[in-house]
Order: sequence, then C-alpha cells, then structure tokens
Amino acid sequence: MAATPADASSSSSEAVVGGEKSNKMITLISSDGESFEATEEAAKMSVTIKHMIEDGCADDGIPLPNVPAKILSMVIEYCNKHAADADDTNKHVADPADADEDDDNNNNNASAGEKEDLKSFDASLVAVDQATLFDIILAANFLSIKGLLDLACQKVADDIKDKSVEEVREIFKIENDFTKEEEEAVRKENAWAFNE
Amino acid sequence: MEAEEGDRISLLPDCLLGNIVSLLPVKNAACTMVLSRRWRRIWPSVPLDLDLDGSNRNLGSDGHSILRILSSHGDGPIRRFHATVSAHKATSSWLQILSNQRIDDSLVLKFVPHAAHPPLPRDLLRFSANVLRHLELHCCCLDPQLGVTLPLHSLHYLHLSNVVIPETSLHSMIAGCLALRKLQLFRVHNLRRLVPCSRNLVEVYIRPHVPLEKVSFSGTPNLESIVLLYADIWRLCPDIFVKDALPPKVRKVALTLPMLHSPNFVITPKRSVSIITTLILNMKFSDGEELRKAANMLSLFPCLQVLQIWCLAFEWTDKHAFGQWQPAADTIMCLNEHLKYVELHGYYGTIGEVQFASFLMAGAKALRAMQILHGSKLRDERINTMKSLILKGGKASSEAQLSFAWRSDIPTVREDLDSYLRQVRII
Repeated sequence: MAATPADASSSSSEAVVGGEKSNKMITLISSDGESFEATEEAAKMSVTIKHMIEDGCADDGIPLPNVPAKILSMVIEYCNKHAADADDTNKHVADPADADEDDDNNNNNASAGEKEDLKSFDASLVAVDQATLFDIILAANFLSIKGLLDLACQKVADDIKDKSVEEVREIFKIENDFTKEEEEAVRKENAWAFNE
Repeated sequence: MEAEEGDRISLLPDCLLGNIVSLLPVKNAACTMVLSRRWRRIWPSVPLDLDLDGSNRNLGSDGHSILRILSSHGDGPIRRFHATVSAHKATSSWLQILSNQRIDDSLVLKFVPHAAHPPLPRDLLRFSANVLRHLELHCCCLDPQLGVTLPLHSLHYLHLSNVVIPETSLHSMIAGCLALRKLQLFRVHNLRRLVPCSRNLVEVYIRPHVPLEKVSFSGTPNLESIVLLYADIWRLCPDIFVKDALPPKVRKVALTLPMLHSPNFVITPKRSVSIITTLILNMKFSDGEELRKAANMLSLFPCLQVLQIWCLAFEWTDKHAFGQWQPAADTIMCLNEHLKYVELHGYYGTIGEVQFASFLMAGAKALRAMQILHGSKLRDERINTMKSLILKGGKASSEAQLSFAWRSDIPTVREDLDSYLRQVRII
C-alpha cells in the first residue's frame, strides 16, 4: 500500500510499526459540523470508531453528535500521539497471572525518553479547566478510548484526593442536599474514613 | 450560580463518577459518600479494591478496621482484597462478611505465623468460585471442602503458605482449578505426596514442610518450570523426583539452597544431580572455606545453566580469610559446558564476592552474561573499578557480557532474607 503524504492535522509523526497498517485517512465530524482527519490507525484507538470502520459505516465520514470541535481536536491529538505506542503496549499485555510475581521492569519497547515525552504530553492535555476536562471524559467514554478515559478520570481523582469534603464541594460546586441529621449519620457510620 | 460555573461534575453519569472514585485511595473514596445524596451511592457501587498491604497500608489491618471498611462498603462486589492480618479479634466476623461477597479478581489473606491458624469458613468463596483469578492464603486452616464442592474455575494463580489442608482436599482443589497456570505450595502442613492434576499448569513452586515421599507431574502435561525451595534434592533424586518422568515441556528445574556455611545445612552432599538447570544460592562470602563449598556445590550440578546468588555480605572482610580455595581448572562440569547466565543479587563488592565472580568469569566457557544487581547507586568509576577486578582473571567465554544494574528493593530484600535464612533447613 502506498503511504499517504503527511497529514496537516496530525500534530506528531507516528512510527508505523509492522508495515501492514493502512494509512487511510478517516474523516470525523464534530457536533458543530467541523471536519477533522485522522489516520485509520489513530482513529481505531476509539473502539466505537473501530467498530464503525469494520462495519463499513465510515466511508462518508463519521458524525459524532456528542463531541464538540474543541474536544474532538484534543481527542485526535491524543490518539495520534498514542497510536504508535499502543502497538508496543499490546504486545506486552501478558497473562495477568504473570503479573503476580514481582516483575522485573524490563518489558517495554519504548525508550525512557519516549515514555517521558508521552507522560508530559498527557499531563498537559488534561491540564485544562473543569468544564473541558469533563467534556473530555464524556467524549472518551462515548468513543471508548480507555487510555484517555483513565487519564482524564485520574486527573479529577488527583484533584479530589487530598482535599477535605468542604473543599471538594467548593471546587466542583456540588450542592449538599443532606439534612444535618443525614450528614451526621453518614459521617458516624463511616467514622474510620473521616478520622485523621 | 451561573450554569457555566455550576456543578459540571454531576452531569457525568454514575458509572463515570464511579470510575473517578475507584481511582482514589480507599479512605478518600469512602469520604465522597458525604458530598451529596447522589454521591452517597457511588462508592458502594464500585467494586472494592482494598490492598491493606500496599496502597492502603495506612488503614491498619487489625480485625476491627477490616470489619468497619467492609461494613461501610456494603453488599457490592469486591475486586481485590489483600490483607496481612495482625491480630485475630473480629476475624470470624469479617470473614463472614467476605463470605457473603463476590470477589472478582484477587484475594490475599496473610495471617501472622506465630498465632494459631484461624479456620477459614467453608463457604468463603461461595460467590467468588466462578470468577476469582488469584488466591493467596497464609497461616490458616482450610476447610476440606473449600474449592472442592465449588471448584475455582477461573483461578489462574494459587499460593498456599504454611496452611493446614488435608492432602486429598488439596489435590481435589487443584484438579478443580481448570484455568490454573501457576501454583505455589510453601510448607503446606504434612504434605508428603504431591501429584497435581492440572492441564494448564505451567509453573510450580514447592517448599516442603515434611520430607516428600512422592512427587509426580504426570498430570501436568503443559508444565514448563519447577522450582524447589530448600528441598533435599539428594534424597529426592533419583527415585522420588524422577528426571525421565518429567513432562516434555519442562525446561527449567530450579533449586534454592539455604546458606552453605550455616549449621542448618548439615549434610555435605557428594552425589551429583543432573536434573537441576537453575541453582539459587545464598552466600555470605565470609571466608575461603565458604567459597570452596560453593564451588564444590557447582560441581554437583553438571547440567546447570543458570546460577543466581543472593549476596548477604554486610561487612568488609580481610583478604587473609580467603587464601587458595579455587578448585583445579576444568574440574567443574557445568562451567565447562552449560552455565550460561549468572546473577549476583545484592552485590556489595567485598573481597569474597569479587573472587567468586572472577572465578566464574574465568572458568565458565559457555557463559553469555553475568549480571550484577546492587542495592545502592554506584558512580561509574566505582563500577568500572569493580568490572576490571572481576575481569582480572580473564574470560573463559569471549561472548560473556558483564553488566551492573541498580535495584531499589534490594536493601530490604537482603535484610529480610538474611534474618529469614537463619531458621531454614533443607527438608
């Protein structure tokens, strides 16, 4: 298969592993009608899109009515960056029984430098305002992109982690609809969690 | 409050809130129950992931803590439950609660060795039998029906250490684990005959509690690796542990020995044993006599391919303690033909270690790699000095690579091993 020329919307070069991947471009259409292109390999990081491609529904572009343009471009950026890495990772999904021993940390093809690069990319991708972060979570869930979903959820978890209940309510604007008695009861039943 | 600045997080569906909560440490996760009425339901709906040995160490693992956490979480499934249980108050209460839950992934219960072994309820795995993948139990009594009336169909990994279980029950349990791949039996009480029947078993680890009378792997056709720890291989071979009766795919038969120099290693064996392909030694490198014993030990394993040595030297030694201990050249068969890999774990750099490493490098004609794993970070010049010391006697194998690597867990492991080995004898 002839390789297609580098696409303007890809933000990073991909190392295509194996030589058998098709570099066919897939068109994704955001909820506000904007079109984005991604390589098939990157697009298939979304299990939802992967199924649509395999079912032959992708030829005229895939409409994504749940995903606004701003979020879709970030999602595609993530997929482009991680698509090359995904191939290596999948090779090392060993039998979970093997993970029971203390593993030697010697099972990763990506060099230390590449891993650092990915880590800092991931960190900056989710360093966004709350609204955007939740939209990424919803999009990653809808598109079934596990890595992105875990990444974004972890960011929210990290924001919650060492904060008091009041602080968490404040940050996320969660309304406390407990009565005073109800709240006291919850705290009392689970005292082990609320004690320092 | 403006809509844009409102409660965006509550727009996420329950399953996604659950995702987020499941990424929190257990204490923080439980605290989310008080955020609002909706959040009250989220944590109990997420499978409990409780590792009291690891990530949730701070919660304490006495019976009362466990009881409180399980009660708070309620009836929902448990993904992982790992605990080293320090005291026995409330044990039967929380074991009862565990018996009423489904444990999807792994259960690790380590009771302390010195107290009485608590009995585990017969129906502990009543709801988990079909799904549990990983089971590890220490220092308890297993009901003869556990894993027998309800076979553990999905179990990939079984580890029993210092447990009481009738021999027939153990064998029935293993036979019922259709997916079992790795089996570790450490000091299972009074286990004399081991004849496991397990189609998919790949690795087995055995440390005897009493002398084994029968060992057979005819029922494990896919077995690849056998590891014997602190076993008297000279008693087991050739009649009890029979080389020709091993399944065809077995490529690794490993033996771990206690410290050669200790009063616990009483017998000075003389017979060679050709079944062993990997030998794990524990050495203090204290004097030439110990090194001579180690070299002699190597001569008893003519088919040895891999040698691992835990270096338990904690002090610098005087070179006069060593003298001439090396055996004559070419007298050790595994060095002449088969030894390919040597690993020194916990290398400290004492005279004895350098001498032994050098001896191996100079004599192992088939050596491919010697890897030295150390517990403190070393500067490059120090590593280069050590390399040249070890290579001073030359390399019998031109392709042999010598490498150094740092492992952060080595200091703890060394100390634990050193104190542990004081009571270990071969059986």
